[in-house]
Amino acid sequence: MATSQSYFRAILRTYAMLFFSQHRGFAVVLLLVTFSHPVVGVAGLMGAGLAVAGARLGGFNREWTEAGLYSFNSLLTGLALASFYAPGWALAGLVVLGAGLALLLSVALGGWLGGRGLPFLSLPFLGTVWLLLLGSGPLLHLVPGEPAIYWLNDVYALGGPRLVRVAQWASDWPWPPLLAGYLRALGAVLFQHSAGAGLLVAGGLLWHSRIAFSLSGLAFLGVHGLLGLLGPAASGLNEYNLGANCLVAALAVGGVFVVPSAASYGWALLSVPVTVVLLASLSAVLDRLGLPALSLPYCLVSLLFLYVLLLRARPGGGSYPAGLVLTPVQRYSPERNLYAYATDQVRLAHHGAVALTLPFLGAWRCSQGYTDGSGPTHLGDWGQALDFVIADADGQTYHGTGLALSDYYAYNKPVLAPADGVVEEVIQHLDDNAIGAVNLVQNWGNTVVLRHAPGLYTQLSHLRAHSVPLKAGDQVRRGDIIGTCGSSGRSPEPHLHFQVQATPYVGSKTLAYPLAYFLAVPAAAVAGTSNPAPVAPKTSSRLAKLILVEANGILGASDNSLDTSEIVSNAPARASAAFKAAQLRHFTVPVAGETISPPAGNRTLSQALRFPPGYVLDVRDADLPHAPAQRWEVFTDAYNLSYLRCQRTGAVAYFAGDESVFYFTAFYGSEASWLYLFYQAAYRVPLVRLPQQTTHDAFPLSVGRNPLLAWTQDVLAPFYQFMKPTFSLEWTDGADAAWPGRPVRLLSRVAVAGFGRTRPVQAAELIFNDGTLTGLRVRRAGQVVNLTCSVAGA
Amino acid sequence: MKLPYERPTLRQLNAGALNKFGPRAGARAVPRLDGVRVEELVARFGSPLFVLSERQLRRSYQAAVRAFGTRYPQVQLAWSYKTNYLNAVCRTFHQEGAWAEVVSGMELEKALGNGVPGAHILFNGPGKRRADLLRACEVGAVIHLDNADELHLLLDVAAGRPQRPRVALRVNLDAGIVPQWDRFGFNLENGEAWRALGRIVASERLALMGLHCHIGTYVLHPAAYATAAAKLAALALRCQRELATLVQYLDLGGGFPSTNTLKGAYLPAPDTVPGLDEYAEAIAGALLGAGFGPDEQPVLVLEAGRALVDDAGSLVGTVLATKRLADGRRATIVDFGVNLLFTSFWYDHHISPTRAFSDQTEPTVLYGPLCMNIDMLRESIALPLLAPGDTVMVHKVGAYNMSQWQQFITLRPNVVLIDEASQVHVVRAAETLEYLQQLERVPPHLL
Repeated sequence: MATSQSYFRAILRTYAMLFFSQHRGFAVVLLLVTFSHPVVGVAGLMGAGLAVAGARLGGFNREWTEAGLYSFNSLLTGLALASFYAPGWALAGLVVLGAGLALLLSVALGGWLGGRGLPFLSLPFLGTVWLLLLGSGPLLHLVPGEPAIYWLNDVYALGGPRLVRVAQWASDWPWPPLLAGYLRALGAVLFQHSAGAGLLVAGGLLWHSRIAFSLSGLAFLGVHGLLGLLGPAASGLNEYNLGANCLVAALAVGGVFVVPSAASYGWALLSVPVTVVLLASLSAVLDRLGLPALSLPYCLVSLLFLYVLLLRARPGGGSYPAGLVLTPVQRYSPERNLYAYATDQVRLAHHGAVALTLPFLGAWRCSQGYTDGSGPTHLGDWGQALDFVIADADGQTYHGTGLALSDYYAYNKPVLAPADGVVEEVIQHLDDNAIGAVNLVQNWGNTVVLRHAPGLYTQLSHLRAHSVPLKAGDQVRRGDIIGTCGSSGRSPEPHLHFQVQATPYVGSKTLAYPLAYFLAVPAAAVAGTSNPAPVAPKTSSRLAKLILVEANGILGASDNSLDTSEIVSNAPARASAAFKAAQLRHFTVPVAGETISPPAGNRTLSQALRFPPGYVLDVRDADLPHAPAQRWEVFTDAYNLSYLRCQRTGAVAYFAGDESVFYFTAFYGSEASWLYLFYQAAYRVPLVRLPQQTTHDAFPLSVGRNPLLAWTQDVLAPFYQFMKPTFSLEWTDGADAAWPGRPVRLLSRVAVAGFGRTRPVQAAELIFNDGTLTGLRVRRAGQVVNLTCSVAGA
Repeated sequence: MKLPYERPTLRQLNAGALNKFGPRAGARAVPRLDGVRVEELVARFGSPLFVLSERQLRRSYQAAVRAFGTRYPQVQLAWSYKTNYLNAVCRTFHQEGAWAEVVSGMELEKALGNGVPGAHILFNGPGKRRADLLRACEVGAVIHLDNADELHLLLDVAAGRPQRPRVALRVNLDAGIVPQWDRFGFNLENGEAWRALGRIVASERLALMGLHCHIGTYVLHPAAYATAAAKLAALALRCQRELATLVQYLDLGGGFPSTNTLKGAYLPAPDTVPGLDEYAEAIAGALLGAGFGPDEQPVLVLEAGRALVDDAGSLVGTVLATKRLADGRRATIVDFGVNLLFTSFWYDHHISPTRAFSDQTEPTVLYGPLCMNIDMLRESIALPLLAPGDTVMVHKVGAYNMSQWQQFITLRPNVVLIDEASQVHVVRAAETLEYLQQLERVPPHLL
């Protein structure tokens, strides 16, 4: 049952894939449009069906098969052959042959071009059709068909005189010539020649993607303008060439394989004249061979335009709106590609970087940050280094008179390895300087250099003499003590020098590299502790209470509501001012003046959100406890990225994280699934206790929205984003969460901000207990979903 | 300017080695506290007067967090209520992030009243009653079990509860100091503690959170703490290995000295007492070397009391009279006695004048105002030539005095807190006769 379902799903996706889409509604529209010539429609369906079945039987890449990537060329072949030849057994045989050949070519080209990061487009279709056109002449005696000319016969056969009347009315409608041209061009992609079919395709395209639709319009106007410039001599461009080449090429290079942006629109526009020229020249060559050019110009232009982007030494990028950026992960929707890119650019900027943690315990002040021109050292190529000292509330780094090394808070404090690695070099024979004196000869002082990865070294300097318990070649784990803070080398007072470098030598040039996670108190907040009045963020606490009371009101008051309100009311009495101001930073570089400290993790959350592969959660509706559970299972893909997959709906949510934070990176699949609620509710969860602090994040724009505004935003998105979906999360309780065995409750909200207004989308409460996620209550569009989760097999 | 009058004094000259710093002896005058003139304090709030420095409270707390927090990954201080449970003091520490360590039902309620969530209250003490245990379970405080009878009582209390009460085991052990404190908790060396842990885990009615030990008070040997920490860590690892129970925290108690000089000490405390850093080094070193896995390191809990609060309290008093005793010694009578300065039984408190005097000092006996022979604050102290009406200040009296003081013969005075902006707040008003008598009931036949 499930296999036949996925089989038909794959066939449907094959249709949508003609326009680089996975949109089911669009696919149905396209399927219907092909059936305006029933024979053509049947041939296309046959081609697609055979190819999907073949790909499945052949055991080719399952993902590509499911997406229809292997079968859309067979579909095209079927459509094309049925448009060229009259129906009959010979045609049927030819379609079977063509579908098979196109599938083989798709797999082969997919392997060859895919390895180069390029799509195979409709090259298999071209190859197949050419081979069959050249080969079938001598072998078979096929009657050329003229369905395009006598298409009303087909319509009559299909729907009788009434449908003929409708069809005639549609084709006789006085379309403005420009619009008619556009519509016919779109229809021609499916070998349809009526404006009516084009209208359906255009509508479907708009439904699927506003960006794709606007790109097709832009390309059409581009061609039209170009032809106007070239004059009547060049007007021989037929609808097929216009649609299947110029429009689709513009779509491919402007919105599908390149992240949509103003630059990509320009790139798409640039592709138009190239396509037109190529079309003319290729037609001239191929005509001699008796072959139609078909979509060859589109394939060549797209590959050319993508390959040159791929070969750039400095790939485009930058923050939104971006330049020309190749789509990193194909989501088969220009909007989704763009929105995911815009948020990932910020959220996942350091994905895969080596996590360097703070090389010390407790709160230290960054006394010199990356080069800002103000410090006496850390200059030029050595500028990307950090100095740390320990300071008290008055900003002093010592107690007493400050004349002895031991007066300094930092002196003799443990220095830790920032990540796992191997000791590359140890210098520890240099004496510590007297206060105020510096050693300019051995200016790095006692130093340890660690190798964490090829080309990634860290150097920790000015250590206390003979304090390093390691020798070169030793393995260290993150957090191991590698020495103690001293004042050797160019160090007038005890401090720690920390730098990342690409070469293993003491005193190598520095490398800008962020620290994975730490708590930071800005300089101003440290200075301002003289009056630490407990300014609790009242609003957010009230908000927390409100959501909880509402939730409890609906779900029946539990004993916890009492606890929480009590804790909320007492909140201002707790937590130090410094603690409150501390912000969790993720993959950033501390700046001078900040007081930073390593965060303390919360065991319950870390355990619950670790999600090792094979971990299975059974999720039930709390109101229907006997209904069968949905299963969410953790898998890892070929790139070792982890995801949760809902076995019921097939929805997939990718996640990542480290010791300090858990976050979702992407969601694919049905937005009606419970997994989508969880994806939104736990979009970013710090695994660190941060009472009375709210964690913020930004969603890709594809999160729940008002349809009219959303479509407007979609059209404008490549240029400007006026709607901002936001995520916020806060702890509802403080004290109990510190202990295992007691629930941790987090409240998260999703809202869309725009035009100075914030519209809530979803409010959720996540409940963790005994190291697992046990409950999820979501309020969304006036409805409450109350889920309970349990670890399967536990 | 006319110099203030000082009474004449006679002193015997002793021929001895000359002090290279000159003949000056005795304390320097301290005319201000945190920017507020002592004269003004006395004028506004009377004498005697306890003065607390919020600034010093916070600095001491931060210094302790710094000393331990820069040496061990996870450190939590729990404010020892009995040391000074004035709400203003407790709340200052809680605002800095301290939990509460309480030793009675009354202190438990006080902590709750100060807004400490139940989960942040550690309930110590050998005298917990059934009602106290019930209340502790109800608010989710962590109960530090002291003896087997208490364990059985708690098991009984825990029987019908929806959530398992959180407990820690109080352990006493031989840390190499004499006298060994063995009256609190279960003994480690004779196996009592291990049996109790087995009982707790096997019962499945209690959630074991931590292990606690408090090796003594005013302990001058950091190495003793290292021994205690190592032994406690070994016990925690054994729990993890043999009972499959992860110990969440190790509570090393308190007992860290302040810089008050103990009676009988040969040298003044500031010169001999190890700093908090040395204790931190010893404890953190022992714990880091104990062999916990990177994700299994227990939180280090400390119940420092004296070390956090002693420096922040001062007592201002007034000279009532001076007289000469029969043996020729000078005696000075001040308006505060052992009823207010309980710690004068243990310490030779540092006492200084609050205005400038000439360099002449005179050894004197310092008596309080009580009509009791025991009311002697210092047997001999070099003070300037004080006259009745002069004020003096006793330093470092923040610990224990404001909880162990007695209402005896006189009433207890105002306690004020100088905040960080040098504003003075009364945090406990002077007692009145009415307050004293409000709980008294006179039987009708005596009316």
